[in-house]
Amino acid sequence: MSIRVESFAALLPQGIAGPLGIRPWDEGQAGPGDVRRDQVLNKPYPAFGKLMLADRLAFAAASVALAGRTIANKDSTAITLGISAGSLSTDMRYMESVIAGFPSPAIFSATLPSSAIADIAIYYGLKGPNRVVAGNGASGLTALELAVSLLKTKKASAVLSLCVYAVEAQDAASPLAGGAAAASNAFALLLSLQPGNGGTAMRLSASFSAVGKEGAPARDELYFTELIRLVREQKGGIIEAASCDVAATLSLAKEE
Amino acid sequence: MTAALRTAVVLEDCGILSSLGTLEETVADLFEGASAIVPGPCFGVPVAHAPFKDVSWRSLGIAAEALTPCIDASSLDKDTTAFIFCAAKGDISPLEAYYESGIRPEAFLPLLSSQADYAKKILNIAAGRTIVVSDACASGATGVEIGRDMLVSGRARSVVLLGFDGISRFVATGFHALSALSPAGARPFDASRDGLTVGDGAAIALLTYREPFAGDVVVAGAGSSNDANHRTGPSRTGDGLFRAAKAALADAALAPDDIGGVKCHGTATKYNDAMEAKAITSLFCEEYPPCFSVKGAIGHASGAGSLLEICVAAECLRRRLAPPTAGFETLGVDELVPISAKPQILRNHSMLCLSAGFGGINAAVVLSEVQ
Amino acid sequence: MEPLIDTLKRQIIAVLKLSDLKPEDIDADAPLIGAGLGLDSIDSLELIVLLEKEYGVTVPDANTGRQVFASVRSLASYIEQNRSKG
Repeated sequence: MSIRVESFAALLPQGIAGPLGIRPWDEGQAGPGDVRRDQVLNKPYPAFGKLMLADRLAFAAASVALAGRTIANKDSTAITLGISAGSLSTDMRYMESVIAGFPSPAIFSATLPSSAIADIAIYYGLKGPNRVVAGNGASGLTALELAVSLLKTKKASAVLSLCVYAVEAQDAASPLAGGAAAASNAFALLLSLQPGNGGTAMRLSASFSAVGKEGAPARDELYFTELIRLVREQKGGIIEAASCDVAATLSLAKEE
Repeated sequence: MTAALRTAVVLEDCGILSSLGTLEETVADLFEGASAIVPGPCFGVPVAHAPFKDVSWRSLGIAAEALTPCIDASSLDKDTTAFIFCAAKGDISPLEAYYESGIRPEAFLPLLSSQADYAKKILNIAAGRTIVVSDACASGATGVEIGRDMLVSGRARSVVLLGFDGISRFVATGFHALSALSPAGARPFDASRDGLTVGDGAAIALLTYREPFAGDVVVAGAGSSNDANHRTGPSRTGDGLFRAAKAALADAALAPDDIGGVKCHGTATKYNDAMEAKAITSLFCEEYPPCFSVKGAIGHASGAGSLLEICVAAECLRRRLAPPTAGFETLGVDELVPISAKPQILRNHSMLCLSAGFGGINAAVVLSEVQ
Repeated sequence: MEPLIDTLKRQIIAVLKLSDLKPEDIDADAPLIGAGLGLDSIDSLELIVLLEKEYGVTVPDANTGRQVFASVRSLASYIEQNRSKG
C-alpha cells in the first residue's frame, strides 16, 4: 500500500527544512532548540513562547509541515508522536519548581509526553486519534508504524506523524538521563491515502517487522533526516531502519 | 457475537493492584459499595487519596512481581509477542529521590522506556518488542487499541500489557497546582463533586488472537479522538469522547443498543463528568444503559488506571452487573445518566469503557462476553 | 499604583513566557483571561503562584480569582489591598 506524502518538515542542526526549502538558522541560534515563532508561523501566537522545549519542537515541526495547507478532514486527521527521552527535561523543571516551594501548574501540565500534541491539535483543529510513544531512542519509527496502521485500518484519513527528541545540555549531564545525548530535533510527515494534488508528489511504502533488532542503536534522527532528504530532493530510495523495537523498510517513490 | 469460527482479540488473563487490593478483592469490595479513599495529607497536600492496599506496591519492581502470576506467559513466543507498557508518569521515584536526597538512579531511570525494560525483566516476558504508550490518562485504553490492531493485522500473536502509575509528590503537587483535587474525596457525577482523588494503580493483561469460546471476554473494538479544545480541560460538549465511543462501536460492528453498560472515566471534576454525561447521552439517544465510575472507590490512577479499569470492567461484564458508584448520592449533571450507589443489571453482554486524558485525548474500548 | 502596574506587566510577560509581547502592548484595563491576551485557565493558575511568590498574597477561591484577574489594574489594586493587611 503506498501512501501520499502530503508534506514534511525537519528541524535540523543546519536549519529548518520544509516544502519551501531549507532555511538556515539565524546568527545567534544554536539549533532547533532556539527556533522562533516567526520562523515557523506567520501569525502571532503568544502561547509559542510558553511551550516547553519538546512541545515547542513538535509544534514548530507541525507548523512547517502544515503551513498554508487546508486540511480536508480534520475530524479524521490523526497525530502520532514518537518522543524518545519522553519529557525528561520538563520533568526536571517541574521538580525544581516543587523543591523551590512553588509547583508550577503550567510546567506540570507539560510533563506528559502527550502534551506535545495538545497545542498542535488545538491550534490546527486536528480531532482524529492520537498515539504517543516514548521509547528507546527510536520511537519515531514506532510512531510512523502506528501512523501507517491508522491509515491502513481506515481509523484516520490523514496522519501527522512526528518524531521529537529534546534533551537540554544541562539535563543530559544528569545521572537521571542515563547517558542520553543532549540534542534537539524534530521531524514531521503529513501522510494520507486521499487522492489529490498539492502534496510533495512522493509516495511512501512502509513495511514493519513484528520484532525489533536486539541491540540496534537508537537512530531516529538518522533515518528521518534521510527520509526527509529523499522527499525534499524528490528522489526515490529505500531506507532499511531498525531499532530494538521494530525493523522497517521505508521505500520512497515519485508519483507517476 | 457467538462462538462460531471467528477469530477475536481475547482477553486471556488479567490482574490488577489497587487501593482495594487485587482484582478479586477490588471487584468484591466495589460491589459492596466500599471505598479505599482516605483523608490526607498526601505528600504534604491536604487532600484525600487512595494509596495501594499494600504500599510496597508503589515500587515498580514489587508491583511487577506481584502481577507476574496473573497471566500465563509460559507459552509466549518471543518473535510474535509484543510488550506494551502504559503509563502517564509510571514510577517517578528515581527522579524524586535524586532531587530530594541526591540518590542516583539504580534499578531504572525515570524515563518510561527504562521503566518498561525493568518491568519486562521482572515479569520475565519473552517479547520481541516493547512499545511504551504515554497518552496521559488514556494510556491504558490506547495500549489496548494498539495491541488489538497489532493482533488483527498479524504483527503480533500475543500482546502483554502492563500499566503502572504511582502516587508521588510530583503528581500530587501537580494536580494540586491545577486545583484539580477534591479535599474530601472524589464523588463521580454527584451534585457536590469538587475534584479528583489521586490513586495508585497497576494492571497486567494478556491478549491473544484466536477463535473464542463461550465465556471469553473479547476486545471487540476500540476508537480514539482528540477534543482539540484545551491543554487540560475537556471539551464542554463532549464531542471528542462521543466520537471516540462511536468509532469504537463501529470498530466492533455493534450498535448502541448492543451495549450493556458503560464504564465511565468519571474523575469527579466538575467538567469531566458534565462533558462525559453529554457524550454518553448523545451516543445512546433514548435508552441509556447503566453507567458507573470506580474513581470514587479507588481514585484516579492516571494512565495505568485506564488499563486497570478495563480489567475491572471485564469482571463486571462476566457478572452481568455494574458496580455501585462509590461517592455518588445525587445526580449533578444535566443529563439523566443512570449512575447509582447500588449495583445495576447490565442490559446486554458488551461493555463500553471510556478514558480521557490531558491534551484532549479520548479513548474508548468495547468488551464483549462471547455467548 | 502605576509603578506596580508596570512591574506586573513585566512579570506577567516573564512568568507566562509571552515572548511576542512588550509591556507597552498590554492595556492595563483590558481583560487578562480569554479575550485580549488570550490567557487560559492554566495561565491564571500560574498568576496565582506569581502573587504568592512575589507578593505573599493568596487568592482564596475561583470567584475572587475572576475579579482579581479582570485586568492588570484590578490585579494591582488587589495586591495593594492585601499587602497592607500583611
